[in-house]
Amino acid sequence: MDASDLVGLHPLFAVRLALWMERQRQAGRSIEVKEPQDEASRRCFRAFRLEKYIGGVDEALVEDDGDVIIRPTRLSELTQVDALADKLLQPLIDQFDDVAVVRDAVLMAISELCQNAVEHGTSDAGCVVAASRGEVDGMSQIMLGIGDCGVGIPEHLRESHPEFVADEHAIGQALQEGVSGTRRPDRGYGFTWVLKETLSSAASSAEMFVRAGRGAFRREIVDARVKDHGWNTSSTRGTWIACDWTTIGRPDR
Amino acid sequence: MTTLENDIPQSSASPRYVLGRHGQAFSTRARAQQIRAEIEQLAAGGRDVLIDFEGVRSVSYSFVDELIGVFATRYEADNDSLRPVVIGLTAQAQRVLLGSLEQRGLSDKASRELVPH
Repeated sequence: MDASDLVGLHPLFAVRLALWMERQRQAGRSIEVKEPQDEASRRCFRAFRLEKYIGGVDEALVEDDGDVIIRPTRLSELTQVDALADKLLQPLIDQFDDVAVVRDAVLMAISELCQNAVEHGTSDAGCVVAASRGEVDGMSQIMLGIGDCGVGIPEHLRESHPEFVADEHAIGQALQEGVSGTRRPDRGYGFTWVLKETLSSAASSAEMFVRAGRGAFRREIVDARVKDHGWNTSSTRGTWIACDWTTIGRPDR
Repeated sequence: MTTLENDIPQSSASPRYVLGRHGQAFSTRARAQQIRAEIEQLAAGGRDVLIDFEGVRSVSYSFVDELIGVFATRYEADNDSLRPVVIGLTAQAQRVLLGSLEQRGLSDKASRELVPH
């Protein structure tokens, strides 16, 4: 695998790469890796520990790197989602204080979206999550990637909403309040609460990208305005979510 | 494993469940169901229970809805059922909890009774 030209490494890409490398190893293939030449990307690549196995919650947090917060981590049980959120809270405040102002939104996203992935992902891969911080235009950014290899949001949603034919439309509907594949009236609020906590936070802007089935969907939040856009794309198995929050403030501890 | 905290304040006969003794962040409905069962056991058929969020710094919507929302819905439907009074909320937890109660259609009166604010 040649990653020598790689510049920047989003956690969602790290999640996909970690799962791909795991599959190669499981198939008995050895992988020769050319690391990124760009120094920051190489440091990130190593901190994500992509050449090794995907670890559990106990190994999730990276303590010796300035940018990687959570290395690709497998959550197979719901108790592990609670454990990760609880474990992340204090380091987020202590070590990543420039992005800690959006911690409520980040923890809401980990809680709700990883819970969905563990409950509905239903594959041996479980839910894999990673996070890092970075800078863009002089502002701090925290990035989150969550993936699973399950049936994907559109197919799951069509169990109770067969009218959602186009995958990008189904993903867009999943982001709306009270829309769920479970038929339960108290479900389908996870994505909405990620949005609400983002709007309540000190994020100057935020973006959520979701890809599943043949659909892709982007939600952008700038100056408290929400802009949604969905489109048709090539088919993928599972659900892949990237969330980015950009901050300008210092934390109120 | 039983993790009940039967810490009854002198000024009140109501048992108190101190959530912060079990963590700082709570995420899933499964965790809430487990804690709800512990609270029901702690209440032991009594009417009131104090649920103290002191020390809890992050809660998800799913957790709060499954823990307090379910208790609150039962209480509004049947005033003889367990009444959870929630104290010690951070601004974040209060925002999420009031959102859950509103989504469940609870009256403002019931919300104020269960979540003094």
